[in-house]
Amino acid sequence: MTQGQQIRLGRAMVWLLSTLMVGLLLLPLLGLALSTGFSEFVAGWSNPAVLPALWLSLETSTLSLLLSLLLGTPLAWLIAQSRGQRQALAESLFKLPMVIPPAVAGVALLVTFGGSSWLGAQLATLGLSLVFTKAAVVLAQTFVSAPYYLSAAISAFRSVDSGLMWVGRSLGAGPARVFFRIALPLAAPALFSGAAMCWARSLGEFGATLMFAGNLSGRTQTMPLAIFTALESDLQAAQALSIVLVLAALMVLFGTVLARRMGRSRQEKGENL
Amino acid sequence: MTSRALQVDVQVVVGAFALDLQLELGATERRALIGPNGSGKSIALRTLIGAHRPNRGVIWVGDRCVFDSARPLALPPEARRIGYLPQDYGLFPHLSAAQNVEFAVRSRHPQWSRSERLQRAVAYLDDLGVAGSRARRPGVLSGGERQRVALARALAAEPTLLLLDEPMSALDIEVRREVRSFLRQTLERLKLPTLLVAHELDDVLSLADRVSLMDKGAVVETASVEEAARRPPTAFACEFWRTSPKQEPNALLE
Amino acid sequence: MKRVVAWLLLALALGFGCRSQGEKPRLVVSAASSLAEVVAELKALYESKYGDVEVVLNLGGSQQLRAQIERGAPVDVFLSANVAHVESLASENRVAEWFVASCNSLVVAVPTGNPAGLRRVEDLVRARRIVLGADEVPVGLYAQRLIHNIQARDGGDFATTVEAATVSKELSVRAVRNRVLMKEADAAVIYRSDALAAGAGLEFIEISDSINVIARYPVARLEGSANPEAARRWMELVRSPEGQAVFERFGFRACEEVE
Repeated sequence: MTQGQQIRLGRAMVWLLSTLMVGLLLLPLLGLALSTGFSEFVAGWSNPAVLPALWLSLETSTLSLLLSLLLGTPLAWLIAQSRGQRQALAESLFKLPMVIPPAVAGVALLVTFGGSSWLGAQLATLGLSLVFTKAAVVLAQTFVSAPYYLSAAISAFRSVDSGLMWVGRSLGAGPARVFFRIALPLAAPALFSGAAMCWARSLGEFGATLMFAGNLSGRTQTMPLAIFTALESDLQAAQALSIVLVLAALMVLFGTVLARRMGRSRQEKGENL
Repeated sequence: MTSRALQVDVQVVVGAFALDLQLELGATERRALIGPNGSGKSIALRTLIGAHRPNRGVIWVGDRCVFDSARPLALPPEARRIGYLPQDYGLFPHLSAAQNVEFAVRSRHPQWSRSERLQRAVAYLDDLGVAGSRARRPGVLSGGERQRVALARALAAEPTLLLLDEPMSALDIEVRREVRSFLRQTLERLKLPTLLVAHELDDVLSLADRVSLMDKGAVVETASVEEAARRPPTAFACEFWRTSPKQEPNALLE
Repeated sequence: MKRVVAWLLLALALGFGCRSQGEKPRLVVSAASSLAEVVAELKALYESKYGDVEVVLNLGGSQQLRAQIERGAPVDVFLSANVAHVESLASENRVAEWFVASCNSLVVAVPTGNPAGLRRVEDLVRARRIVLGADEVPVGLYAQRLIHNIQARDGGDFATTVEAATVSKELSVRAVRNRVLMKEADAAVIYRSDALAAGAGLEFIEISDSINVIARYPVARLEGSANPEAARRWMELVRSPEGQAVFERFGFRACEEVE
């Protein structure tokens, strides 16, 4: 085979494999959209479970994202500064919730915070109980999705040149100013995509939520739970709800992309003296 | 003690490397620090700004003690008033030239408004002839411009001592002569005590009054540039001058 | 398209496998999850009697199993937790024959120790955390009917109070039962068979037949079965005293009426 032929063959392989991947990822979504008739889609929207579930999903996924950002960013910063074995250990440890099945996560949460646990008993003396509450939904979502943000954030902070940080300090800035004005902005793009993954995982979270928080419309029934519940009786309704969820997720994703683009252009126009 | 710009006597261990540094700088002295790769020059600079913590010793900057293992005292980098330019100049890539300098102005004038600080920043840039680049990001500036912006930024923090780590090595060979000339004029004008790490003979001869030779983590000898150029005192120093890629040692003025 | 989807669903449920020559013919039995233990024993019984056939069990929610059949999945026998599913399949001409195999009734399950101190089903108003099945699953539907029956008989706030105290509506009767076993609920409404199967893990309160809801479990032989002989033998086994004894052993009860 000549070199030209080899290159052409290689290119053809790349295209073939890519097409297969695109097919695998997009065809099911397309299939979902096409197999649901318009009237069924409309009926899906008017399903009484939809609005409470959608609202709850958006509310809890946002809360769990904020929780992940608030608690995860400092931890990621600390881990990114550490070296060697301690860093490797920390990273693997915090990735665990990602690899265990969500149902197992649910059982773990139940066993740790549930009514029969030690922690649960302490909470009960204060008159509080976590299971079957919206807080439990947020907790379950955060448990499974925070590691996605954490690992992206560790990577992001590690990629910031530490030399720049020392230069910043030498210019008279304390560690806080160096973090907020130098490290964070430089890490921001990677942090942002980590946050997007974290939020997406939260939105789709089902197994742990069902086990730990239960399933009650308006309080703990998020969209994925509503879809699975609908599946028990009405496949069409489940399909319609699925499309609603996909559309909602798409809208939020586009919204964030737009927001970032606007923010960046404002920054570029901004400091013209 | 007060007539000295810098007094260092420290022992530092960084990884597998041990540094035993003794150095004194006069009030307006410009000292070049030379030596083979791995002799500890860059580590010395980073120790002075506070990136490495010595096991033992003292560091005095002017009449302020910034490090004393006996007390113990270790001022954080932001309190040391030591200007520092790493080899790649360390400009913040996400900020414009003016914003970079403003970062330093903020340290000295936190109560000023943003626009006041930016105005002062542009003044610093102007002083070094790069006010025209104020709105541009470091990525689109030339090497020489970047050096000037970094210098302006270091000066905006009002340092009492200036450290330059191989200030010319990030530049293309063709522009070095011109940039070095400007740097020399600027340093002479500022009269700031300066310690610069150099590899090239040209840089040493042009930018420094005196030169210290480092080897294996310690300063081996110190002399004025004229002395060293004319008559290297030791066989080792001789070796260094000979292997440095340069022409006549008498090209002091450029 | 639908047939392909059905095949994929069933293949996933049964596990991929290419049929090589020399394998036994199969009898595919789709059964509601609440019959899990029953069909496992029926399978053992069947295979010991008719060793030439391999019984493949496909467990799931009755609704999903029905959906699979409607999309052309190759099922021979369907054991549902709800007569309605079989009736609707019959109206689509997918059923060769069917009858009610067994019945089940509801009970109120409470955690061991009965923390809420309930003695009768009407005491549910005193429970603070009630777990039921979702309305979309048979046990949830029946629970709602039970509540309605009590409400109709006694009036007052029974239904609204119970609704207010309901903290979760699970997607299967086993999930409801787990809440009681893990002591997260004060009370739950589940099948008598599931309560008995839990042994010492929980206590349960019987409900009088006058208001109780009887769940009927039909067994249906499907049209287009690949192995109608084997399917017919399965139906006979279910009808036989041996088969009925299996049901009873797991807490189901014989029904008075027969289709």
